[in-house]
Amino acid sequence: MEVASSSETFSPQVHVQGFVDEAVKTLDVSDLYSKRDILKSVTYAAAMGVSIETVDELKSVCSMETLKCPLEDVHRDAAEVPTGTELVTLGLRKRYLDSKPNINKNCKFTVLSWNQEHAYQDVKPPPEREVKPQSAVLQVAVFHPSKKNRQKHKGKRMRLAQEYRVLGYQKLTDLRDAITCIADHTIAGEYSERPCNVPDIRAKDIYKSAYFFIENVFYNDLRYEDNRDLSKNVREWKQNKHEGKGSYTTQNMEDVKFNDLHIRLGYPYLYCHQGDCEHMIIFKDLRMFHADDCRDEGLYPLMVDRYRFRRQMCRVCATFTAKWVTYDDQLAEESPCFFCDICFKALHYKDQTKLADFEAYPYVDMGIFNIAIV
Amino acid sequence: MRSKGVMSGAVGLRTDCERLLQLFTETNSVRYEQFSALWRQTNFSLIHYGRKEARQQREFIEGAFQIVLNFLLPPYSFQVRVGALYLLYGLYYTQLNKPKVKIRMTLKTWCELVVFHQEVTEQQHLDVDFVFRTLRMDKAFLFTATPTQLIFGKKEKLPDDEDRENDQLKEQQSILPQVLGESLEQLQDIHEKYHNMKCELGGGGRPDPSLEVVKTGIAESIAEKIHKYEEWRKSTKGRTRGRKRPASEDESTMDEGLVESRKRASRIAQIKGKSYGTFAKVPRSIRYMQQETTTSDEDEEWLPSTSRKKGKGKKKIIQARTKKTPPRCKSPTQKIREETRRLIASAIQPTASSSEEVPPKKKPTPKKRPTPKKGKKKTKPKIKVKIEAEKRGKREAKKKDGRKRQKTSESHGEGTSSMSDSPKKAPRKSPKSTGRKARKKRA
Repeated sequence: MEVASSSETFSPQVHVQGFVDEAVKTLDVSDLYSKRDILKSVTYAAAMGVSIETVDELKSVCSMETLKCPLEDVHRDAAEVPTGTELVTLGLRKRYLDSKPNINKNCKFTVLSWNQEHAYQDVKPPPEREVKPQSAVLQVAVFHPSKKNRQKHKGKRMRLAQEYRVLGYQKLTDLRDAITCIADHTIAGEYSERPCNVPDIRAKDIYKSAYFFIENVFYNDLRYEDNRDLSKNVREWKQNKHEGKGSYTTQNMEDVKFNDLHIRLGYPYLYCHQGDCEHMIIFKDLRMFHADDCRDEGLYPLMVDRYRFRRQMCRVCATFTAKWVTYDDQLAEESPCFFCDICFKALHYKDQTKLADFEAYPYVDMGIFNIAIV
Repeated sequence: MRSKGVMSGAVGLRTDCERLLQLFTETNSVRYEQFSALWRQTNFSLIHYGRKEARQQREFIEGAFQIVLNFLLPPYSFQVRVGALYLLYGLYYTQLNKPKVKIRMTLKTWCELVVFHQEVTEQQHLDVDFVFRTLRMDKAFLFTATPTQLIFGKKEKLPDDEDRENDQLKEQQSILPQVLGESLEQLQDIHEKYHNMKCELGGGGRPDPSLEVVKTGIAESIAEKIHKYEEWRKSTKGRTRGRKRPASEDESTMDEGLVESRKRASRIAQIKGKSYGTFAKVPRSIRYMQQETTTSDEDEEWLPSTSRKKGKGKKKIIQARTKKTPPRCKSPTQKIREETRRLIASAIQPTASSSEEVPPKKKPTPKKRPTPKKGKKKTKPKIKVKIEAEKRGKREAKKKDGRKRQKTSESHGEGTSSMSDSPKKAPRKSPKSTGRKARKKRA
């Protein structure tokens, strides 16, 4: 990995609980108080040690009205670059916009991320579900699994799958349950002989093992009896390869909270499930809980961003989402080929008998994650 | 793409903030009234405009907070820090985002800010105190572990760097005058000496007309041409060109002495030799057309005059060569380079024909020109014009009046098409004709 060249893109190791403790130590209780209070003159007066009259005077002197500029207009269009000022920023912005860039691509944030940012701001949960005060909030980006050789596809960008906001006192298993991946939803097996009775058993119901790999520790999901330790092979490999040079350790995922973690922000870690579906995860941000955050504990891990998938269309009608995928199909032009349920059955079967030679697998489209959130 | 992405951030804001803070320090006070007056005077609230979507505004304001927070920290004077606090207050409350984007504050920065606040309260600056308390009680701060969100591999440039890069963009200057400046002076000196000698020869105040072989005021004309080129460069995107060069820039500015100037001259010669010595790879499909390189011709131009005067046969060969080689598309830089070269060449190698500088248009041009690509390019606009002319014709035909108008419009259309064609042909002719002239001069 190119650690040397991009050393600035991740922070030194941070202990999450340590950060919380330090914050509690340095900040006032009121700074971490999770509710907004109205700015009253009395509180000002008490805090500043002056009379209420002076506070009122200060309020008038420092009011928002003083920041109103002569050129500012209520009906001004935010998209237009104002003219008639000497501000360098605006001049450069104008020049930039005139060069007709692809603004949508160049922005750091997506539309969804902005919409989600404060979507739950006004949620008023029952008191027992309120987020505990003085808790840390972590933002975790989960990327698409990539089996491509990274050396070959160096320039290719990793695509973000989802981004979650988790609370410091939540367990790693909470995040593991929240992460959605199409590999969890696939139906295993070949059903070309009996397409009508496909069981609704998803991969996540059968293969429940998973692990996080963070700072040389495997956090295994062993909540269920039939779960296996997926990290076993890797650990054995490590032991054989670097004998005596330290080894990877394991922990149970459900025993560990985010507060217990030592992490480097911005550093890539691993989430592996379904045997070999490996997602890169990155802790983007660590901060204290803010009054404008979602206050309902039950809604965390909160999805703040996700990739918009393109659905796979039926190759016959080009209208419906694909539900079947066939391989080595004599009736199709390509392999694999995608069909919706109706077209698949109409094309391949007559009186419930196969008309040609092919393999058919139920296909679960990534588009199922596109269901609007909020 | 990446550099453009950088442009979308809070570029230029640092300069604006510096200006505002400069003005604020000039007032020699820390009163909020002064600051708000300056704010209004500079129309600072408008800084948020020009961004359509909320996410772009968010990107901007986050960068802006980053920049302003720099001014809040100790190396700056107390007054600047107060100004920065006011600026933060102003930016936070005038931002267009709803709900407001919070100010990311690391615990370390916060500690320093608290110390600063204590200082303020001790000195009884009530307005500063009030502004700080308002921000704090209004939950404007987000207490974070790092100044920005981090993602491995995505190297986010600090807004600071962006600005600096941008400054370079603004101050970007051509090094042409620097490179040519002294040599032009030298040329001027030599020219004056030459002129004086001619005068002495003639005996009178003016040199003999038979000796008038060099255009007077070469240096000025070169300077003028450089100036023209500069203007052209400013009007178009000359950014990449400017960026490639600065290595030689500082080299050329350092020296003063004669020895060093000689060194530089040799270095320039090297650079020139490199740039003219290498030629672009020609696709295999048209390689046969370039049996003999074009550069050989150009190089010969630079040879001392003695070698070229020999024999007429050589001239013919050169002409034959140039006929074979496909005419290259010439950028303004190239043109100017060529012209300056021609001028210098004419100065070095005085000929009788140099007096007729202005190119007469009537000169016949060789008809054979193997340029399949150019032909295509040329035909396109023709069709367009014709279509337009047709459209125009139809439009006008609809205007009730029958055939007469249609006819006139058609004829008009044809006229325009021919008109529009002519200027496209002209630039193709010109380099050739000038080349020819140069060749003639040599003869």
